[in-house]
Order: sequence, then C-alpha cells, then structure tokens
Amino acid sequence: MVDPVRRWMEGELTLEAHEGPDELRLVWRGRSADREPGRFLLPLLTQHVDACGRRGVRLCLDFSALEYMNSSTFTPVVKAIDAARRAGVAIVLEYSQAKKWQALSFSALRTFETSDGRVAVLGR
Amino acid sequence: MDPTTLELRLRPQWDAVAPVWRTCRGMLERCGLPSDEADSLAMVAQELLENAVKYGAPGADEIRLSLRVEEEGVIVEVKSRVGEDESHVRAFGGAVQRIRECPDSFGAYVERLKQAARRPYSGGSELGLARIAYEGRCALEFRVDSGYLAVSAVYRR
Repeated sequence: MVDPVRRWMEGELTLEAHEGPDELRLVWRGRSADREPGRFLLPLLTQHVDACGRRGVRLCLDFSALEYMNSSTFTPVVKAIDAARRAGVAIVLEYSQAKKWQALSFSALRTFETSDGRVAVLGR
Repeated sequence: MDPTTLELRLRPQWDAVAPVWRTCRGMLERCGLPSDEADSLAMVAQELLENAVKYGAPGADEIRLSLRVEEEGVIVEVKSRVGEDESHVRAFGGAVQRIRECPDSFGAYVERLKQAARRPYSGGSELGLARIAYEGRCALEFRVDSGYLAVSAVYRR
C-alpha cells in the first residue's frame, strides 16, 4: 500500500505534506532546533509555495503538533509568507491556542495578515 | 543536590546545547512550575545557549548554564568565554540595550519578525533576544567578568 503522505525529516523535526482538493497542508511535528533551519526549510517551503501556485490551492502550515521551535526557525517561516504573498498564493498558518508558547509566538505573526485573507494566522 | 538549581557545563557546540531545552523543562516542572511557564523558560535557556554557541569565542572551552528557581521568580544565566575581538560583545550589548529600552516587548518582537522577512537569510536578527523579552517575559542583563560574558534573563512571577 502506498503511503499518500510525503515526509521530510531534519534532526527532530518532521514535516508531512497532506494534499487535499483545495489545499496543501504541511504538518510540523517534533522540535525545530537546528542551527540554520533555513537550509532545510527555505527550499522546501519555496517548493510548496510554487506547487500551490501551479495547482491554484492554498498552502496551510500547521504548527499545532509542534513541540518547540527556536527563533531561527521563524525566519524561513516569515520568508515563506512573503514568497506566498508575492506569488499570489493564499497561505494560512495554524497553531494550537492550548499551547501558550504557540499562542504568543504566532499571534505576533498576525502582523503579516492581509485584509483579503490571503495571508491568515489562525489559532485552533 | 539542590532541586531548585540546575548547573550545566557544556561544550560550545550545537549538538551539546540542542537537548538542553528538555533538561531545563523537566527541572522546571519538577519545581512545580506550570507547563506553560516551563515551556517559555526552557525556551529562554535554549535561546541564550544558542546565542553563546553562535557568537562565542572560537575555541572556547565551555559554556556554563545556571537555572535557578526562587520564590519570586526564575533566573537563567549563560556564561561564555569572550574572544579577543570585542566587537561581538559591543554588538551584543547594543542589542540587549535596544531590547531593554523598548517599552513594548510585543512591538519589539513584531519589528524583528518584519526585519527577518525583509533581510537576506542570516543571523544577527536579534529575534531570539526579542523573543526572550516578549514570550519569556524576562528582563535581560549582561556583564563581562573575568573574560566571560554572562547573560541573564530574569523572570518575575
């Protein structure tokens, strides 16, 4: 049986890609504590922004299962938001409101939200 | 052994400091801190250690971490050897000063995020220090003492 979920791993971090009819969801699991997480994340996120642009679907970065991320990990994330905005790709960041560190960190990322909803940061 | 104090001596290498978040978090929970506070203060320790590895003196012998739980709060201190080039210490002191002088830690954090989005991918964004002040709700202090840079993050309940 073929596993329909694609996975990428770097250190303690795993990203899973789930493809739906309207969105491509990247689920983050584990811990992102690499010295230069952008070396792994930037190409991967750019590749998925491009893929969403070609398919005309939104990109959802789902952090709700993530245990920890260091501050260096925020840079590739905000760069992916910027790349999606420039490419006209809708992007949603989902986080867990039950995890206080996520509620604090990701509420700050709401500064990148756009009024047309193409960039959204949602707690659930 | 005092359960309210954790003291570690670590090699100034990434693989040595990377697992410390979990060690700190466990110690803080054993001291009775709620998991949210343990999460944020373990993050503070991890960010200070990562800074020490990234910007510490080349060939330094060790990094010292002290995590102390007191009645009024928690103190995280990281000490690392200062190199001959003092420009790093000056730059670090300036960064701490900018964070300390900002009355709005949320605004300072958001500003660093915006800068990170605009700048070429590189270090030195001050994002970690801003995160310590905002998410960790800590006051930052630093001093140079006997060839060591000691950076403290003080959390008051």
